[in-house]
Amino acid sequence: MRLLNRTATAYIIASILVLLVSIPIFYFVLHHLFAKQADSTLQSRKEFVVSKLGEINNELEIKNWTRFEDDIEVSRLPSDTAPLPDSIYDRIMGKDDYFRELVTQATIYGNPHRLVIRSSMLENHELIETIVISQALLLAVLLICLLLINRRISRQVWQPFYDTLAKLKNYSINQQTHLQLSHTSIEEFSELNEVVDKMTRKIQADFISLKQFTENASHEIQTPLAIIQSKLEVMIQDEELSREQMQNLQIIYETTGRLSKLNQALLLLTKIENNQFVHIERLNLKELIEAKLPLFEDFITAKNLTVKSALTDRWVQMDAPLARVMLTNLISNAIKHNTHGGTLEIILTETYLTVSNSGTAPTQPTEAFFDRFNKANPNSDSLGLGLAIVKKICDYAQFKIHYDYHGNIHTLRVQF
Amino acid sequence: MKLLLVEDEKHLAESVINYLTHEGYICEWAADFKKASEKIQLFLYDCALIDITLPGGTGLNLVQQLQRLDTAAGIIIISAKNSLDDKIMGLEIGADDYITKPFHLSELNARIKSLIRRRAFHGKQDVVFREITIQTDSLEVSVNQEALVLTKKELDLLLYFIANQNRVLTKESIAEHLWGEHADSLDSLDFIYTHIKNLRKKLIEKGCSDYIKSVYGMGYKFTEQTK
Repeated sequence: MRLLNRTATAYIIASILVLLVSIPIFYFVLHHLFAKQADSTLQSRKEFVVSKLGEINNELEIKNWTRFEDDIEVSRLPSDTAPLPDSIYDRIMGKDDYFRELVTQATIYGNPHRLVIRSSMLENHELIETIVISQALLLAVLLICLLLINRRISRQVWQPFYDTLAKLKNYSINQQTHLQLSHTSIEEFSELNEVVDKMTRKIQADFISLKQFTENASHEIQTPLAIIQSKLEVMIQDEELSREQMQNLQIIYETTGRLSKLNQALLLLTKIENNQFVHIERLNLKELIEAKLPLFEDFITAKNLTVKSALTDRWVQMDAPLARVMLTNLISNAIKHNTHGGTLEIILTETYLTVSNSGTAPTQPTEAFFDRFNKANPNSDSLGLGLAIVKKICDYAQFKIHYDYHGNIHTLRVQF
Repeated sequence: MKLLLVEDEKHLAESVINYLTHEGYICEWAADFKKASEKIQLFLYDCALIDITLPGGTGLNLVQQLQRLDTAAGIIIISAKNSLDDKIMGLEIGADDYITKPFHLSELNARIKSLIRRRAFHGKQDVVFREITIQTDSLEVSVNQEALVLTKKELDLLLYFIANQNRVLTKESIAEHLWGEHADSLDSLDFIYTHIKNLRKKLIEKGCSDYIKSVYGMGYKFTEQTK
């Protein structure tokens, strides 16, 4: 839920509650006031009536007198009736006929009588209704206006926050520029922007120094490796070496070779990450693929692969060595994981490049294919960096790469 | 043949000198830019192996110096930088070849031989190993004056073997020589065996002795010694 909606909802719920509670209270207060007014009228009327009735001597006279007084009812009570205090209450007669009634006992010509005096409340009731309704409407309109104004102001006030949020969303640590946060006069937000700015700068600086460290480390490792390798090569020329010594040297030599290749691959990855390939040229991928394929001939023949290719001219803006590495890795990957006598298919169109090979279903989650050090076969000598490098190059060139397995065919698709 | 090695890493230089001296070259070593520059001015070399990153200057300047002196020296650039920039730059200003660290000594040796052959003999010198003759301009192979048909890879292999005769060649260095960067990405070591088997068969059929010896799974050695 968005912040503005959240506060608005709270406001609306509170307003409805206030309305629901205040309107009945308002109604009852008004009603009470009017009833009090009516009651005092009834009391003075009672005093007048009682004094009037004091002059009456028999039942007939009562009837004659009350005939002309609509608001008075007099009835005879049994003579032994105990006196009762006055009582006043609301009464509804028929439909929508509201009255306030006062009931009292009076002794007329020596006999107890029940005396009912009425005062019509119809007009008062209507008045109360009108007042309450108009009041409620007024309140509702006021609340809606308040809500709208509040919402508008909040939106304006929070604008810098949303700006910052949108910029952070689009921020990538890899980009070379700093966050450009807009200036705001609101202290909290300007403080927030300051902190965010400081933090991203720090992260970026750390990230860059880490990348540089990785690159420098990989670079520095090359020389010792070259020394080890060359010394080994000199050593194995010694004819006095025993079989066992030679075999141990062989293992050291192989391992050093692996280490060196691993290091070179990592160096390449960091170099791509550090944007060190800036010699963008216009290249025809078709030509590159056609030049590349013959170099794999030995491996293709050895696996007895059928090569199918459908290539159209497709020009890209890329660094040439990177484009070559991408193609080499894609093709060698398709050869390496191919079955004996399988097919290798390369399709290049205006919009995509696909490299497919025969093979059994993947045994591991396909999303992990582009992860570093992910190997289809843990025992293989492969470094598990080939596709990670392809992915990096694709990211760099802003291509999308996608893996698919369908009907015993593995396909890697590069979408331009 | 006199070589100049310009390399600041002492141990690496030792290995290179050791290997190349065994090949019959006279090897001189310069560890920094100044020393190398002096040697270039004072002596004549058939081939210079120049590291690009040097204390006191860049190897590229040494290449330019050699160019200005117009010596017959062939120039091979050695660099730890796997960067194409250096390679293009080096070749543009007149280096003949480029090799990146870490490299195989056998590969460096083969490159030097091929370079000297190209420069000193304009590619006209035949490569001869006993009864085997390879005409390097036409790439025709004959055994006892009888033509031998080899595939491109087999020929590469034979040239590499003869350039490094009596040396143990590791499988890795052979793979890299034959397939370059593509050796890394594929199980190329298995293919070497096939190529060597075929080459050996063809040579023996033509009456050669079995020159290719396997060395304890480490690699192969091309030698006329029979033991």
